[in-house]
Amino acid sequence: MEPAKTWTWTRPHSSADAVTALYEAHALGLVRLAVLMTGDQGSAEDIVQDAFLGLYRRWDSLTDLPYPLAYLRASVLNGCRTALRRRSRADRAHYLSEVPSESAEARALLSEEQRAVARAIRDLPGRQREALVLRYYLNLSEADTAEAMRVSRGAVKSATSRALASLGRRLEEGQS
Amino acid sequence: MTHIEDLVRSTTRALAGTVDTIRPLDTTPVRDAPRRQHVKRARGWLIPLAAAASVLAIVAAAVTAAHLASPTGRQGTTAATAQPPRPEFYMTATYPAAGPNVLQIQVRRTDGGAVTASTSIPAANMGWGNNITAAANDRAFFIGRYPCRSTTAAVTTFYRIAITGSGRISGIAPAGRPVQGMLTYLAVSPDGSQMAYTAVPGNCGRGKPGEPAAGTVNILDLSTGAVRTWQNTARQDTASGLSWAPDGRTLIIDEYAHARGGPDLTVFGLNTDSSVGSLQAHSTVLLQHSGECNGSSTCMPSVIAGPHDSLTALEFQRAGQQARVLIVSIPLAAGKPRTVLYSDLSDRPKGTSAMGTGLYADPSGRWVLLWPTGAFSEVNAVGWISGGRLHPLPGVAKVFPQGIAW
Repeated sequence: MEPAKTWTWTRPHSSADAVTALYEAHALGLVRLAVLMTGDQGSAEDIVQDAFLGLYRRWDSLTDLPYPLAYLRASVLNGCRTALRRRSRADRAHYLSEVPSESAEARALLSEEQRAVARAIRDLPGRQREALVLRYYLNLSEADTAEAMRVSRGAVKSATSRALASLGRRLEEGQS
Repeated sequence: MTHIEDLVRSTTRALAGTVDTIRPLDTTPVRDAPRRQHVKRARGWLIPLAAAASVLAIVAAAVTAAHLASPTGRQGTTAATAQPPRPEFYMTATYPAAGPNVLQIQVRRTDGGAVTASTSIPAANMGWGNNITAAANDRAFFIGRYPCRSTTAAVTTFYRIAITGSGRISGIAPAGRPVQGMLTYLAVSPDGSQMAYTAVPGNCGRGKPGEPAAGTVNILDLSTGAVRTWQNTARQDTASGLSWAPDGRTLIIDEYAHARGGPDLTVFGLNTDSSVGSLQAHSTVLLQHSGECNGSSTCMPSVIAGPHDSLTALEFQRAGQQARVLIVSIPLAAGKPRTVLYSDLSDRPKGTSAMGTGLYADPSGRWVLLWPTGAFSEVNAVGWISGGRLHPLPGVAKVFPQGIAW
């Protein structure tokens, strides 16, 4: 008798199992990415949860998704942009005063120079901040960064270069 | 690496390191509300547009109400509500150019014929008839697969092919358990829980009518793997078609044998709730015909159509050197006249054999597909029958599939 499963083409998990496994593997990293972009853990967790729920919801229609992590990363970045846009100027000022770089824990972990860098990163335009975080925190290549940001490689190069120049200027001003 | 890049790297890592625990994933919002409501802010220009749309809707409702008030309008509406929607997708199976032992499966939209999914199934071969069948929800198809092996007895495995709302294949998995024999015909029950099939012990098309299992009809429970069998106790006839009545309880079995002078057709309606054993003892004979296909008789496989009240059958009439293809609806109640649903004069000369043509109904029994199964078919297009016309099914005009279901 031929075994029942001589050949099968099926997705490895149910949508719930697959998304839960992805969450366990990547959620912490994505929350950290979102914290760097938005500055607070509560928003970051909400954004990451939303990204995973979006993936869960569309799981059946995303049968050809080769790299779920890339999809999730782009979703999280998009969520961060939306969250930052929604914050009013006043809220943003309030929020900025409580960014992690100024928390007690960060004060203990970060040197004075690193805190200055954190403040400078926080003040960068959104796209430049995204490029910097993806390139230097996640160590993504220019191509992967471009895919996550949904821009061209040239735009990534340009944003990174401008961000580094801007940071350099800010730090020099701080020292003088 | 510059100093500033180093600083960015170390700073972002240190900042990210302040987060070490997060809350678990909560999928309740999706499970409780599968589709997210995207509420967009209304734009100013939408207001007059919405007002105009409301006026149009009111006018349309008034016109519809007036139409319904007329006797012809009521009749038309009754007919429209009785007709279930045409299936959204259909599936085809063909042997690719490489030849048998691989099946090429495609899912297409019935409107427009766009391919929504495509895959190959290795070590798979066709049965004698249609080797694809569809369940009633338009989202599950089933195929029977048997590899060609000369050294081992044929074993058929059924697979369930699930598709998404957009027509993509979301999974292919074995259904039930493998069964002995080479598949010849199959039909899944409308709810997708039971597979009716016939099989013969031969391998790779070398099975013959009259072999021990030829008169046997089986039903495999796809959840438990249990097989129930009914045997034609009168003769070793060959099943030439299986289809389920929309009630999901009656299995329509066409059996024919070549009697002297022409094919001898019997259509059984098997009560599948009955105990196993004799096919005759648990069936009603819905149709019987002996003799040659001469234009006044049904001599080809039938499918049931409508809520248990009629059979839809394929007929061929000789018309000089040509053949006329007929699809007729035969009421099961005695004394009621049959209705010709479709009639067409084939352009193939001397064609009187219907062996190259198939008839396949959707699980509701209302939408009947006519499809040429071979090069000698009198029919030149795959299509559905409606309003006395053959509506070509988009996407299969050039390459006729060996199997089709919707």
